[in-house]
Order: sequence, then C-alpha cells, then structure tokens
Amino acid sequence: MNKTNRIKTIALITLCLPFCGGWTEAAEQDNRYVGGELISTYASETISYVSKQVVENVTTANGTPLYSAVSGMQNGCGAVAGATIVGFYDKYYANLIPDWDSYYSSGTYRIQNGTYVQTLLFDLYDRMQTNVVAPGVSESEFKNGLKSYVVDHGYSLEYTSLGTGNNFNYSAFKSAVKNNEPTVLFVQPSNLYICAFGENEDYIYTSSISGNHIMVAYGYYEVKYTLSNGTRTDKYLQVATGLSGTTDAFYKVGSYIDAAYQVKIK
Amino acid sequence: MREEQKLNKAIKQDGIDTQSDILDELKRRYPQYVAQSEKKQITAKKRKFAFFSAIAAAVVCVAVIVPCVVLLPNRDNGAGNGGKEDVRYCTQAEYEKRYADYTIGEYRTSNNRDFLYFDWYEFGEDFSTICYINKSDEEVLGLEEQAYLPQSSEVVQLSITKANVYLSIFDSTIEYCNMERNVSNHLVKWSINAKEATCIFEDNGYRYFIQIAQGQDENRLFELVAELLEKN
Repeated sequence: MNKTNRIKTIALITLCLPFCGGWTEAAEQDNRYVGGELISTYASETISYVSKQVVENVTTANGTPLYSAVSGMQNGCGAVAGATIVGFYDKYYANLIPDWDSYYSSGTYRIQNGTYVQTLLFDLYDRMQTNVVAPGVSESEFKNGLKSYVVDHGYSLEYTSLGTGNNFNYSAFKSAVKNNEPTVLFVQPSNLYICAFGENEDYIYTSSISGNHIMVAYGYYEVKYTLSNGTRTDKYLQVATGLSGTTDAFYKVGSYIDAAYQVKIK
Repeated sequence: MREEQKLNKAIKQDGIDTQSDILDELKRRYPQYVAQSEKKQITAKKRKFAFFSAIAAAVVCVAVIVPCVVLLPNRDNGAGNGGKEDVRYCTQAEYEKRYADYTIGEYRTSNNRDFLYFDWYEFGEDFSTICYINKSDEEVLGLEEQAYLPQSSEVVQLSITKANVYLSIFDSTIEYCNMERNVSNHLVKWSINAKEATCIFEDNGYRYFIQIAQGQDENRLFELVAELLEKN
C-alpha cells in the first residue's frame, strides 16, 4: 500500500468512526417503559348475538397475583410486573418471598400485602434501576433486575422470546399458559379491554394505557358469537395490568408488542 | 315649566304675597295644575321608596340567601358527613395510593365518619387497607379495603369515596357498570365479566364500589350490598 492509499484508508476510517459510534449507541438505546395510567375508558362496541360460545378460557393455575404500584414508585411498571412473576412462582418456590406465602390454602393468590409485597416491589424497583438512566426501565434493565432477584433467592430464571412487533407467537404463548408459565409483555401505548356481559349482548369497553408499559399475560380467552348476519370470533390475552383500578383485563391478540418473554423460574 | 311660568306670571299680575294666599289662590284659579303638582310629588316619593326597597332586597339577598347557599354545604365539607358538595375530579397525578395501618372500621370510628363498612374483622383474613391521599394537602380522598373470606373462599374489595369525588382509577369501573338493579331502595349499577363482578351505589353522600373475583354471579354482589346497608 503506497503512502497515498494509506492516507486515503486512514481518512476513510476516520470519517466512518462517528457513524459506527452512532449506530452502536442507537442499538444500545432501548425503549423505556414508564407505566402510566388508564385513560379515556369508553364503550367501544356492543355485540348483540343470537348465541355465544366461549371457545377457550384458559389461564395459568389461579391466574397470577394482581399487584399494582404504590406511593414512591414513579414509573414502576417494571417492578410491578416483576413482582407479579415472583408472586406467581412463590407458590412453587417458597423462598422467593421469604416468610410469606403469596396464596391462600384455596390456591387463590393473596391480596397485595403492605409489608412483604411492598418490600419486594421496592427491591425490584432498585434492582431494575428504575429512573436511573432515564424515566422508567428498559427491557434489559427489567430482565436483569428480575433475574438478579431470583438468583439471589436461590433459583434460576429463563426467558424465552415469543416474538416482537406484529409477530407474536400466539400458539407458543398458549403452550406456555398450559405449561403454567406466565409471559411478560413490553408494549407501547395501547388498549386494554373489558368485556362486560349483558343479556344477549356483550359490551366491549376500551381503555388506553398512557405510556410504554410492561404487564404480565397469564391466559387466553376466545369467544365465538353467532350474530343475526354471520359469526365472529374474538381472541384476547388475559393480563395482569399492574394498573390501579383495573388490575385485570384483556389485551387483543394481534396488537403490536415490542417484546414478549415466557418466564420460567426453577 | 310652562305651567310654573304661567303661575309666576299670574301671581305677579295679581299682587299676591304670602305663601298660603298664593296656594289658596292657585287652587282656586288653576285646580288642574295644583293637582298635577301634588301627584308628581307622590310619584317621586314612590320612586324613592321603590329604589331603596330594591337596595334593601339586594342586601337581604347577599346577607341571607348567599350564605345559605354557599356556606351551609361547606360546613358539610368540614365534617365530612357526605353533604352536597361541588363535584371534584382527581387525576392520578393529584393523589397517591398508600397502605394504611388501620382498618376502614377503625378509620370510621376515629374520624367520626358515618359511611357504611363491612364489619368482617371477626371472620375475615388478610385485611389490606389502602388510602388514596391528596398529594397537596394529605386529605384522604378515598379508602379501599380488601379481605379474604375463608368460608366462601372469596376476596372481596370495598372502596369508598364521597359521592362528589371522582378518582381517576375508578373511571373505567364507573363506565362499564352499565346494568341497574334496585337493592334495599338503592339504585345499584353493576357489571359482570370474565374476570370479576363489580357494582356501584350511593348512600348518604358516599359512593361505594364492591368487587368480587370471577366465578361469582351478580346475586352475590346484591347480597353484599344488602348486607352493607342492613348492618349500618
């Protein structure tokens, strides 16, 4: 390589460096999940049917605990979702929440406790470095924080991706539920649904989540309506929202998601 | 003015001096003008009377009616006894959720409130009380108590706000409770879905929300409402 070529090569590398740096930075820059609240609930649809058949209504055993953020946990949706996972598995791995059982003898998950669950929430809130780099948590901060809590309590944790964007693997999710394993969803501002029953009518209520959010899906619900002019089938994920007031709701199958991970603790 | 000028001219022409003489002479010569003049005086008095009456009425309004309308309901505000008050909507930014180290029953007694509550402390388990606190002045905007009832293996949640206070977290519940039923002379709005059964009703200036987990039907909700209304 002669001198001119060497200079050209060095100049080219020098010119490219800032772009390489920028690209690396962009790759590392995750979405932040801040939680937010439910806004603008409205009756979006009334389904008048001739008959209705619940095709599938499957959840993990007794669903999951239904926790929500408390005072002092700004942008704490990551910690709440993490605590929901830990509370769920505490039924099977007692040391996850020391000195406390997350369930009653009937198997129903216990009410959110002001001492033990609150301690768990703040522990995860810190481990996930909530609001340290920027408001909320990133996907990696969430995953690392939850994993560190589980490992420190003597167990191991595995995440299995169930897809991103519009490619959510619904059939893999259904298998996870049947395997009694919950799934963490990372979503952008999106809608949750309440499907209220009437007499030959179902009322669909829609609420919007105001920010990027993390929640836990623990079941699926499929309903087939026979209408006067045909049929329709609605499919929902059942989710522990982590949001005060509406801790349990539906999320439409096919909605855009940033990421979904089946979580297994053993 | 024309009448006055005529009178003055006539008086000068006739050489009349004293006031009484003038008046007598005027009445004799021009009875129609004198009568008009007296009538005008009476009308002016009436106007003055009407003017001062209106002012007096306005003063009475301000002094009596306004305090009745404005101040009496405010006394209810202070006592917290559920009187008619201005509607108040609170966004999530305005309040926070805190665990309380007392039950709703204890709060009711120590703060001399008259809201309804479940006296389930003898047979229930795992009570959890949450307060919704106004961030700016620490006012308790709402209370919530959950209990596990081992006899029926159910978790029941009771939330209470004043009837004029709307906390944003209950927006969706208020929206989707769209069915109606009369229970013990109270209008109960309710809803049931795949997740839970929920109802709302008002009594004596307070709004109550009762929620039970899925697997129950609406009749269980109405039993709980009747129980709440009966026991208090």
